[in-house]
Amino acid sequence: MAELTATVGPTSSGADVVHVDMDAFFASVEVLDRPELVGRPVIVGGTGSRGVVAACTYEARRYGVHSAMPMSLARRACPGAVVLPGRFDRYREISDRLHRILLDVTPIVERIALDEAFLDVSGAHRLFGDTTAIAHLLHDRVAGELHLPCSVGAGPVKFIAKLASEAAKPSATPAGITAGAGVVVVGPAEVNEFLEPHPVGALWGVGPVAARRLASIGVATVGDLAGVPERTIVRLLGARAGGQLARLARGLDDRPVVPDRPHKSVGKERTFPVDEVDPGRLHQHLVGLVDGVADHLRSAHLAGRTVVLKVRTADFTTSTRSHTSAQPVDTAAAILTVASGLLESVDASPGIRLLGVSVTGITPAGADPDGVSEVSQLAFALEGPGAGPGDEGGPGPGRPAVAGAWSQVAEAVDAVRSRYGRTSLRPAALVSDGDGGSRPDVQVRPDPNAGRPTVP
Amino acid sequence: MKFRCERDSLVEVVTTAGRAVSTRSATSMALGGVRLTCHGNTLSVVGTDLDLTIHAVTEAIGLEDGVCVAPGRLVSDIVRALEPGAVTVESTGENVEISAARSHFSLRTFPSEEFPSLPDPEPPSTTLPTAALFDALRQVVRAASSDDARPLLTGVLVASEGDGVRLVATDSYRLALRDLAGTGDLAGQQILVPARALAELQRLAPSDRVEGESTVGVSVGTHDVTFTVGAVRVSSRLLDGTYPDYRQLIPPSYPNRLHLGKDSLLDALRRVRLLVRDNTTPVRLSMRQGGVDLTVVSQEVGDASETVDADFDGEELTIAFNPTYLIDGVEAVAGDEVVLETVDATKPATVRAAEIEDFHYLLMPVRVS
Repeated sequence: MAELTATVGPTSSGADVVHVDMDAFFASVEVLDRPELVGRPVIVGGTGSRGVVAACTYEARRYGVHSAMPMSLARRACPGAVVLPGRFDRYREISDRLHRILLDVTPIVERIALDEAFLDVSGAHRLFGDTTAIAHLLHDRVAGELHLPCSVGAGPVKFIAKLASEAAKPSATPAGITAGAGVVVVGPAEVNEFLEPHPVGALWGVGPVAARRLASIGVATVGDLAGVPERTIVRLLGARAGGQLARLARGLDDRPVVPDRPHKSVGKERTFPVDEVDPGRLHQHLVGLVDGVADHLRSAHLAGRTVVLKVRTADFTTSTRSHTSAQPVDTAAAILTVASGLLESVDASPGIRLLGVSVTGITPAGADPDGVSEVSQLAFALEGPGAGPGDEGGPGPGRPAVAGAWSQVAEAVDAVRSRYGRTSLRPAALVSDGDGGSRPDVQVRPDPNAGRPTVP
Repeated sequence: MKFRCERDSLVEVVTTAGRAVSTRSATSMALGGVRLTCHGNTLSVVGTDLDLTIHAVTEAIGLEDGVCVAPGRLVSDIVRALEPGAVTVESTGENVEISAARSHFSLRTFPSEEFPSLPDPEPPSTTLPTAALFDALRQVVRAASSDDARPLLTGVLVASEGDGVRLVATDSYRLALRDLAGTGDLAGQQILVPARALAELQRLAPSDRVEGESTVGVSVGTHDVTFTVGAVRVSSRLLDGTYPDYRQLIPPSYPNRLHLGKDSLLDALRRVRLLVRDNTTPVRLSMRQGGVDLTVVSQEVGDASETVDADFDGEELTIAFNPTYLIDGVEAVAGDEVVLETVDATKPATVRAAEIEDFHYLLMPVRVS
């Protein structure tokens, strides 16, 4: 039997889901790029009056600073902290490198945010050994190649893997920083033992309200929860949440690791509080939507050829109009030209309830990161405002398809925004008196919706 | 309004005028229709989307003068489907009745007062020879851009040039230029005509009503232009703006010159293009003494290559093009022989006829790594 196993090689031990999570990612990148910050409390986040903490080093966590904390509180808690605005291009660049390392192990990589991803390694054992070996391999490659700390957790299902990576992390208390294990692998037989001491709040879907209700029947830890009959939980929390929780408490989670699919379209839409009839105001909304779409496209290094305008009138009739250009577009100016042309053909008199803009026919913009040969149609260097937007004097490196004056503007806008935040620069049409701004604060913390900035 | 008209004549005028009717949802319902006007024994039909207006006239047996605005597409579909022979059309209040033989249709009409009032165009200020103009349209209109995001490039420049007229169009990847020397008199003007209008003008070419006409009347207004061909008038709003300086795009000289048979090149290009699955796959031309090798490498599909005999002067060179753009240019050349002139793999190339100098098709290569 032993011989037989040996000939097949390492096989699945049942803990095939791996969660890789960078430690204090944005802050760690800042420290990496500025070695003089090593050992100092560093906070990355919105530096404005209503900014929040996006990431902080463990040195800052010793003072009680944590993600999503209002920046004003964080500064008060840790007055000596170095507070930096985010440099998202840089984080994305490193995130892309992380992604490539993960893809070396398995193509089944689900990117959750810039700094975390799930892997299904069930098909990778022959090449890389058992899950523990793979987890260490990933941990060491990230440390060796990116020079950044990460934690790797593995388990039979997603949420166990996620809790495992959490358990592998360093911890910070006022007394000091304790190094983490770096890698924690929870095999199927260890799931119950691993889960039991966790507070119920660690389970997905358990917020403060559910936690309070559970506490009312004496349930504080997952171990407590596992001892409660499912119907009791259901009675307490409802069929849906209760049923799911009962399953989680037993270590069951049937969500598969879904490999990332390429974007098919990038879009934003807005429902108006009051139906909009004024073409001028509709155009203004359009400018805001287009700006968001263009920003998203460029930050994902994408461009698309088809611009789709979606309109829902007061009577809930939804219609779309689209226009396909010869060249992929990714600048607000180019998308707006097309979208406002489409909007012109819309009769706003019945009242517009919802307006949306999306770009489809998505292609990667600019140079192929993998260096695959790129073919590009060269264009004449045409002068004149109506001739653009388009190529001016042939493609520059990086953006062959959509070079030109507006691309340069867009690049400048991106540079300013990556440094000073999403609201630092806005289309003139959206700047209002008093500048309360028609956009909310930017959600900078990477979350499952990262890459889809909130639309005002 | 009431008239009787031959089915085929009625189909022709309604269809011709109907091409100008907007397919987009119109701001005014009446814009979705064509206006039929019967005056004496003349039936005139107009369709418009406010940018483009087509006006077609035919003889009819007028029974009662009047006007109605009817759904153009539906009327032409109905009339086309009728038995050959005479068709009677009568407007009765809010409907229009169309009858022929034992068929009878009654259609809702649009209020004729909602149809835009279209000023009569100025009488033609100059004329162009019909055959040469249609030839030029065939050569040039195809190079205009269809991308509304670049409005100026969706137009064709019609400009005074020397003692004649020059037509220019570019979509920024290729540029077509045709001189009609010694014809027309635009009095030094240059106008930018939407390619769509000229494409509609071009569609009149094979029709009988145009065949006998030796000239096309051109009348240029401040904001519009009207082309009159026999009984059809095509009017279009002009595009506003300064056309890019196309002259600076044309290389002063070409070190490399490939001279070959037009049909053999076209046939070879069409064959190798069969492997092109998307519009980013280029055709590579390797030019050397005695011939040119055409190659298409299509990643998922496979490869194709073909050799065409040719005279070549210059340095051996490989250059890639969008095969469709190249075919467009070669097709547009008059005569049996074509000359392809190049500078290098990233500079504009020119396709033209071997003898005649009045047509140039400038084409940007595709950069391949």
